[in-house]
Amino acid sequence: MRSGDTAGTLINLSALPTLCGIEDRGDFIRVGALATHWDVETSPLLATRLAAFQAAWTTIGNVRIRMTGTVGGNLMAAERAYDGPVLLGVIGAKLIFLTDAGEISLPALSAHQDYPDRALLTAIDIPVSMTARLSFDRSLKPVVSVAVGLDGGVVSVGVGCAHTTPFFWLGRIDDMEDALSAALPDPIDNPMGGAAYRRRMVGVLSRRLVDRLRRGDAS
Amino acid sequence: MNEMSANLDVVGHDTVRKDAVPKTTGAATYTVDVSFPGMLHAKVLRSPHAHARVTSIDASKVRGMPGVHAVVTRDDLDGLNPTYGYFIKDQPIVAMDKVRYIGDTVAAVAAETELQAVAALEQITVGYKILPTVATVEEAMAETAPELFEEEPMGVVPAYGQGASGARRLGRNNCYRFSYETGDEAAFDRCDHIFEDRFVFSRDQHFHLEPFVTVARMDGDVIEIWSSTQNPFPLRKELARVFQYPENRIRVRVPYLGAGYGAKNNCKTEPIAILLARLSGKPVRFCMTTEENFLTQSQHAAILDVKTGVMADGTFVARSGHILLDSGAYSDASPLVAEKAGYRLPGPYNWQHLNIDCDCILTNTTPAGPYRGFGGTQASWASESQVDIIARALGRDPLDLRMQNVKNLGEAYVPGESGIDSDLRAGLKVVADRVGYEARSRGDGRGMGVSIGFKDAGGVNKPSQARIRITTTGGVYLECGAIEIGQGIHTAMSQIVAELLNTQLDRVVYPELNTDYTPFEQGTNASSAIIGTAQAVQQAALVAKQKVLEFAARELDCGIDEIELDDWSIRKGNDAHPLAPMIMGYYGGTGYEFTGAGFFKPELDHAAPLESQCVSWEFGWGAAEVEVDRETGLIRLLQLVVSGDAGRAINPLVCRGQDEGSAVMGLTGVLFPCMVYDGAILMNGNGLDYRVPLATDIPDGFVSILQEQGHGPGPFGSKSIGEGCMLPVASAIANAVEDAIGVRIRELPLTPERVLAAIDEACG
Repeated sequence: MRSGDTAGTLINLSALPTLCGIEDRGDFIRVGALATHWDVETSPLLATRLAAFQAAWTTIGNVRIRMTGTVGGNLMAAERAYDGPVLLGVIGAKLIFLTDAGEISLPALSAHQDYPDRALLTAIDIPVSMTARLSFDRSLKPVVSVAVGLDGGVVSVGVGCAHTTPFFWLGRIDDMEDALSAALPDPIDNPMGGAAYRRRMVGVLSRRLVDRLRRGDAS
Repeated sequence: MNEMSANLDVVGHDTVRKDAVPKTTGAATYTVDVSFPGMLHAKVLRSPHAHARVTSIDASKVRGMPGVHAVVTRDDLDGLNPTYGYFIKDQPIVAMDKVRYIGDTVAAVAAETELQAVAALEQITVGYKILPTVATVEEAMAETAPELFEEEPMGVVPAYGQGASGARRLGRNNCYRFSYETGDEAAFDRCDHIFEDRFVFSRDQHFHLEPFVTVARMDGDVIEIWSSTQNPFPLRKELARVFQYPENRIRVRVPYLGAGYGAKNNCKTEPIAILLARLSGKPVRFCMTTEENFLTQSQHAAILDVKTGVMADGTFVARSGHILLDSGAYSDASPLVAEKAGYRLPGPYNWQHLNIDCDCILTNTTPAGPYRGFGGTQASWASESQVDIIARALGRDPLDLRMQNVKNLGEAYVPGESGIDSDLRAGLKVVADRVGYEARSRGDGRGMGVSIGFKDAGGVNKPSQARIRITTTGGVYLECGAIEIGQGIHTAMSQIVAELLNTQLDRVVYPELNTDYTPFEQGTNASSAIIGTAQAVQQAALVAKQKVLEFAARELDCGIDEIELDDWSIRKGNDAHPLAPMIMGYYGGTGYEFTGAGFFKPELDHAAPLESQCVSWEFGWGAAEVEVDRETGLIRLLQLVVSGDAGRAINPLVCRGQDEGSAVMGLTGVLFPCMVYDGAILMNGNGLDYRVPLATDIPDGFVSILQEQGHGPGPFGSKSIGEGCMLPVASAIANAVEDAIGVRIRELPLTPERVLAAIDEACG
């Protein structure tokens, strides 16, 4: 809008309390699209039931986003360097949209590839698992960030910043190194970070995160 | 080490800053806050091309658009000297024959709203003939490189003193060269070892929170502007030349400044705001966005080739150097930065021979200009990195080698120059002790490094004036041109005056700068305020005080040496005589003002290389401890200890704020990507992608130690403190990296990818 774009109609959604809450739905936690990053960081419910996710969430975003930015707004802004989708994708979250055809649910790990038309993101459902664990490393941003989820022998890897949209890989932990490398698309190659370095770091960070989870270290 | 004057009442105390309340409550007025009824908003059309000839501009559709009151293109510059610059007047108000970088200004519109102005810009049609670009200094210097300026722009080479010289257009796109030489070149022949290294310095953006902004209006026949500028008086002079207008019909007003770090010198938003105000007859506000800041000014990237000869025992003998500054598309302050980068490359060491050239190379990128450190950052990076390289090659400890070769207190920097006014060994020991250098344990990728950041302070031949007015009831007006830019100078100056007049700090007020009334000041830059302007303020205060005492002595019929000024009373023995009734008794009930004027300027001196001796020398001692991740190349900064010498700290807390702020700013160019270009395209020129250090990036082991060695030329022995502690940061960290993993990295920033590549290379 600073560059001249205008909107014919602006609707203030902040008056809808159902979009703001963080609720326990049993198998999952529902985070309203208008919940702020700060709400997620400080939610007692998340601290109890999704502590590793909450701890990782406190590290993403600059201070302005962390204090006032909404989860839904940042997801839909889809900035390449934003790590929200990476974390949500790895832990199997779903994005809930209200559309002309009613409510639809899309996996966070693929929703960014094709957001539905004429849709309003209303919530994010984050599954609660007694066995799934999460670890996250963003120390090499803005070149690459990696999140790893581990549930039994199944590992999910989320890669941020290295491509135009987040990349996700799911597979057996024993095959991860080779299979992840084979599946990883060519990363962005530019003066901010070379493709070879990004690719190499995806391998290093994902291996470290898996090792960390196997040792039982927290996120 | 400290030889301080006796305890003082106001100076030396952590008094609350005079701007603390307005700034923390939001009451402070900055230029961005200035507004008038009917004020228009300016927006500019910027070039999408890095280098192109402008074949046509058609703004006919814009005139008459809703809300649009004025348009400026190259067709609207009649009667002006339409280019500006420091030594070289090469930057046009709007593009004339060519555009020379992506973001170059092509046209400007003033409209009732910013949206209307933006919409109008979209209706301007510009024809371009694309030209080959030069995005780096290497490309720009190539024999077949396209020239940004086919003809030599108007400009000057200033007079230099002993050993120094300047020249223009010595090669393709070379807009200026500064050279300095002293001693016999044969000194190299006597050396046991010669070290030759190339260092590369990255390019930061100032990232001042308040953008470039000006509000302009015509007040009768007076051009009146409010502007976020560091040098209103030279700006006034430059605007008078550009607009061919009498200097005393241009009024520059400067409210609080939301930081500048060097960027806000000379013309930025001012010419366009003034032009549009004149054309429209209305006040015009031209406020850039953060993205436009990136397209307006940056630091100089640099390539520094340094050759140093030493004896087997580590004695430094000779140094030569060739620096290439990436000046961007226009010369701006590059010649001045070249002077200082070249002059400071020797570092604070003893040499028998020096021979240094510094070239300013134009490229099709954002113009580079003054930036905190002003060439000293680039020079310190190369010089202090090479000192460690030499030490390791000779099997010497880098700290010991520095101790062996640094200049002594009072020793002239180079022939004809002033003496070093800090004890360098004492300063280095402070940071080395605090970081635990001598007892450091190495291994596990951990190591430590030290560095001496170095620059001269006070600018060159820089005059300042000041005036003190004291009212009947003892209120003090402190009038000088030092601008409160966040550094706390209002507070420091007020403390000096309160101390000298033996009065309370809250009696001193510091009126807003207005070039119609404020005494002349060359600029708030070059770490000059406390050692230059403050000397003028001190003189003014003492003159005013003397007048008061002479008046009181006459009234009390006693000698001046029998009385003292004490909180606007005259103390004579045990008796206090309030001054207000005494003044009204003599001057009448309407009262009176005592005034004092002060002046400071270094003497011209052809024996001094820069035509006048440097007023002072500013140091930042730095020590770092790092841990390097050998798998990723990531540097974890464990400790950063910095220390500056305030001479005598007028306000210690404010001084520490300067030391710490500059040190953190120094981290930008070391641990973060800086301005990243893909060819001539800036990739991260916005607040989201450009990374500056955050509070969370500062290690727990970040410590600043304020030294007060007592040798400064400023009031009460004070010295400059605003830039020193950013100077050692890069080299201290790079030196620590080599200490940690045995790998020397000669190019900034020390990104993980670059560090890992160096590790890979070292491992074969």
